[in-house]
Amino acid sequence: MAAKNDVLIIVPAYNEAQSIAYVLTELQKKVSGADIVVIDDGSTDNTSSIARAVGGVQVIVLPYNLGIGGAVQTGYKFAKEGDYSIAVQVDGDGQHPAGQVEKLVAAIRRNEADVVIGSRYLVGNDEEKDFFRRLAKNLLSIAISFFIKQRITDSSSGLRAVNKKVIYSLAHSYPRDYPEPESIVLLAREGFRIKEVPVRMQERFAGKSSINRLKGIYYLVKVMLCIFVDMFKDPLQLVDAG
Amino acid sequence: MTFLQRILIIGAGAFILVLTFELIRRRKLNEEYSLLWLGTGIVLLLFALFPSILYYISGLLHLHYLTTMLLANFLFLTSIVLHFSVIISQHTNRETELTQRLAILEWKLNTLERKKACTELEDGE
Repeated sequence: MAAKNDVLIIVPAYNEAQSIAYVLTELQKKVSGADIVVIDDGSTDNTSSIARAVGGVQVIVLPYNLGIGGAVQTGYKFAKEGDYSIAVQVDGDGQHPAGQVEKLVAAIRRNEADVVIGSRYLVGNDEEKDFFRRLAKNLLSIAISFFIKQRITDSSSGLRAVNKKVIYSLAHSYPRDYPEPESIVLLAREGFRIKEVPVRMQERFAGKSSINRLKGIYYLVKVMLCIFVDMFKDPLQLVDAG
Repeated sequence: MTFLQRILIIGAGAFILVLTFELIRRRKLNEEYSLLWLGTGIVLLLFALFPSILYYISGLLHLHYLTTMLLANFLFLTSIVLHFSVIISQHTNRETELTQRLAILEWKLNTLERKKACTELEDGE
């Protein structure tokens, strides 16, 4: 292992052979002082061997596809075991620009919040083109904002940085079904401070969004239901957090 | 309760008991999940052998009609299925936890082995 840093970048990847090398080299180029771990979520292509070939990156391979929630949580468990102070989540499909990672880390370092989420809608110029997806995301964000009494503009953003306390919390329990929006609600209920910072997302490098348009309404209803139930869950009580 | 009804219910109860017993014997059913089914079989047998128990309970609950008895039966089966859903969820969570730990341990093992190979190479030089 290379010299250990106190920041860990978690890159969940499921069949991202086309984009993973680009994502990793970009991260290595544009983020200094961070370790990178790729969580290969049971890919059927050669995502993990490509990631290993990049070098200087840790690769954890899940024996079967756990889904994004299980994959990301593996990263948080790894961060907890490695005693990292900050963990950053970056998707393996190339839509999160590596240049934005340090901005999120800086916000955590300045202790502006416990969770910092990169929002593509705070910038304003990066509107979702598809009407239905825009509507769905707006509704979701409005619902979450209402529930946690704080304005959230991009609840489905998977680009986020968290501090040590949140690493402990997420390593212990991470929502399975719709982790991005659900974790916002659950973390807010645990009393963590959440902050959004504007980021510019890139066009997806390869592959398609996991949310396709026809399933959009079904997705929305299910997420809303999950979030509604989340509001009534007892917040986690962790005593061993650093 | 007619004689035929009693025979049918005794048959059903006995069938459940024998089947459950056989599944445990073949190690296809764990004891912890079998109690429920053994209990169901025994209750059915008791009802058929001593119908007065059934009449007493239905009188107590004011369930005199077949439809309400059916509803009670439906509730019983629903609660069993729900119970199993809870168990399935529990197992899914445990499986996820184990998978994640396995993957992290595998990573650790690989890292150690690589380190060991490197030191052996250095020692050999």
